[in-house]
Amino acid sequence: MDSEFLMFIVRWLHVVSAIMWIGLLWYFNFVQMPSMPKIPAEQKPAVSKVIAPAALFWFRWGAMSTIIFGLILAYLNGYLVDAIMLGGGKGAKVTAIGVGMWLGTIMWFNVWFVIWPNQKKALGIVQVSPEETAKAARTAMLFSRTNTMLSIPMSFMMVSYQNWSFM
Amino acid sequence: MVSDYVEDAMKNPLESLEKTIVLGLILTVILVYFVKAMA
Repeated sequence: MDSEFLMFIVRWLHVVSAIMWIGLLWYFNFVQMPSMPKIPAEQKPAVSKVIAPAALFWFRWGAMSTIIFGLILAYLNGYLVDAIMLGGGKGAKVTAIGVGMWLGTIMWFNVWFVIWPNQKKALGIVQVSPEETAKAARTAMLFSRTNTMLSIPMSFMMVSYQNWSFM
Repeated sequence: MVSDYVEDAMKNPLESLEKTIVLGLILTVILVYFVKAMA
């Protein structure tokens, strides 16, 4: 397979995975969380038992797929190690994509090791005490908001690689 | 009224979607200068 074509396919898979991940992150933060207080109590299980678990499945595997294809893409571009080292003397573009990669990695970690374990407790997939359920829901919410905050500079840094000369 | 304002200001800013977005934009500007300084 032609290497240019391979790089294109990997970039496309990285972008569509990221749309799945960040799209659902923004769905949770811009739509689901603000809407929950407005939903009558008897209708809440439709969200917490049906919609949220399905959204969380695609959310966490979207995150996994994004980081895997992203790392392959950085390797194919030849800047994987330099970007992880925040530039390695290869210029601002590589530093920018490196910052984006670190932010994305922090977000991926939050999804798999903070948000998902706490959501399992919050949504009743794992049975815990009511106090622990409330604590888990708050932790998941705050880390979801942290990722929403980080998604702004992360996407900026990722996209800026193409046009850094304007900065 | 004032106590409501103080109570609101004391909350974690990430509880507000609007404040989360503002923090994200501020962090973006800081990181642009960080990248410029590193390069």
